[in-house]
Amino acid sequence: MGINILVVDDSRVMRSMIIKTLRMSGIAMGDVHEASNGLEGLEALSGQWMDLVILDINMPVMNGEEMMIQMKSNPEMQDIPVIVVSTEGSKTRIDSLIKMGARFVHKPFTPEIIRDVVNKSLDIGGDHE
Amino acid sequence: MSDQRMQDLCDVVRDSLEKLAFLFASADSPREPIPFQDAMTAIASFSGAFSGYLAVSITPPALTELAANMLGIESDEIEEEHQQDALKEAVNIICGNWLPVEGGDEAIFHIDAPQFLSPSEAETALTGRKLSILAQMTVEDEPCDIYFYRDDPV
Repeated sequence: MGINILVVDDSRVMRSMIIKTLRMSGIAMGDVHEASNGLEGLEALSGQWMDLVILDINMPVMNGEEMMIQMKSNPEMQDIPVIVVSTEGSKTRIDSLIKMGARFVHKPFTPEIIRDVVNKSLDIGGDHE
Repeated sequence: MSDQRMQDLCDVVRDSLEKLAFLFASADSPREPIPFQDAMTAIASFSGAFSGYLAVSITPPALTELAANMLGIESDEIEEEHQQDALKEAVNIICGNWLPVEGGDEAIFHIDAPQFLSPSEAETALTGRKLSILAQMTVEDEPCDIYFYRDDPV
């Protein structure tokens, strides 16, 4: 059975790219859901089970940082692994997301990078980092 | 503008386009900028440690290839909306990767949602003030201009 993934990014192109990259990376995927901001992302999470959230930071309506804070305060969502995929260059901001439990992938990325981080987030492939 | 900063910006663009879309880009010899009516242009404004904008002006054939590779679809299926979305995302990524090089990795910036510019809007926005950097490149044998402006000159 594949993993259910929620991709949250305000750019339709970037959502397509992330999904294309996930498929290219050979990850066994189940349902893939898309949201264009943090609020839509939270709504998607409250409606169905997700194994993984891939999240942008800078988005209108609700940004990725705020969505993560909301997830961490909700017992039903707090353990879902989050991968932040962003152009964010500020070490301070990246560190704060990592402290909240996210893994970070810098845009642009390669399929290999996405595969490795997804595997680590889901504890696949014996990597218990 | 210093040659080193221009080289650094070209390096960021080259790396971004290669990873984003498997496109080969290289620094160009000095030449006239591409006329805006012959190009497609998108701009990202930013604020934070300093403010300014980064814009990319690229010819339609190169942009079609960029969009097709980013989206994983055939070039003949690419529509103008795909081109605009792909260029805006590329500008966002180039700007996001360039600002830490320019401002240091402790600096915090907010990048506004990139905007696609018509030729007349590009003319108004990108001419008439002294640029910090104008990087001229070749992307898949097509010209590409990168405009960078900051309000707090180095």
